[in-house]
Amino acid sequence: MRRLLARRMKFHLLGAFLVSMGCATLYKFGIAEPRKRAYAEFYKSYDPMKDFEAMKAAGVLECAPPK
Amino acid sequence: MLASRVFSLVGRRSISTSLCLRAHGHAGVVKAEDYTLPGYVDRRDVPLPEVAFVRDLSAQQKELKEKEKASWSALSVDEKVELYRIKFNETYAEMNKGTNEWKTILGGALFFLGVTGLILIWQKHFMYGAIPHTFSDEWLSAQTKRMLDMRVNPVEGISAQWDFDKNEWKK
Repeated sequence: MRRLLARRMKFHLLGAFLVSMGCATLYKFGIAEPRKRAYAEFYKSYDPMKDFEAMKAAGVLECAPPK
Repeated sequence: MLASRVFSLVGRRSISTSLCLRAHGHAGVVKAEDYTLPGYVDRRDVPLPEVAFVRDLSAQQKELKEKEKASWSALSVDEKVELYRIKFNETYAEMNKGTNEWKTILGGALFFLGVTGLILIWQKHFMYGAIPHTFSDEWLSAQTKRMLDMRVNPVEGISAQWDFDKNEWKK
């Protein structure tokens, strides 16, 4: 029973730190970085006018009918 | 003042509780109830409870307590264990031992989830009416086509999964 609280506290402080840092790292490299890369890739070769013409032709723009 | 009026109305006899009745037979001193005295408790955070576990010692145990007053190296291991058991109910190991309660809890929770599932199935079959027409296959495919035409979520979402040149879903 000697140093019961100290031992428990050390264990849990270390554990909490590792778990929270682990979660943050996993999120950054599992979700945040891929998302940034996806956006960069998309906008590298994005032509807004071509997109606009495609949407116009499909007939979804009320003020720009496909006439 | 109002309380004393009630007192005289109700009468002294009905005020006497069982404790007071007992007191009248013992020169006015009420016997202390068990719950009012310091108690023994097996808890991890109370290493030395207020009283010993065994309250009334047998003759043998009383002898042992007398022997305890002398040098402790004269005590055998069994006597030391007996003295411990007089003082404490469970050892820390016994007290902290895990139970199999989690199995009961998990089983009970899953069982009631199953019952809920059965209730939901019954409801879908017997109670609910038809779902809206906007869930039909034709409507859903027209809806998806319109979403792709509008380029909904083109970076990571649905329009990113569609190949606009080949007019099919990306592999």
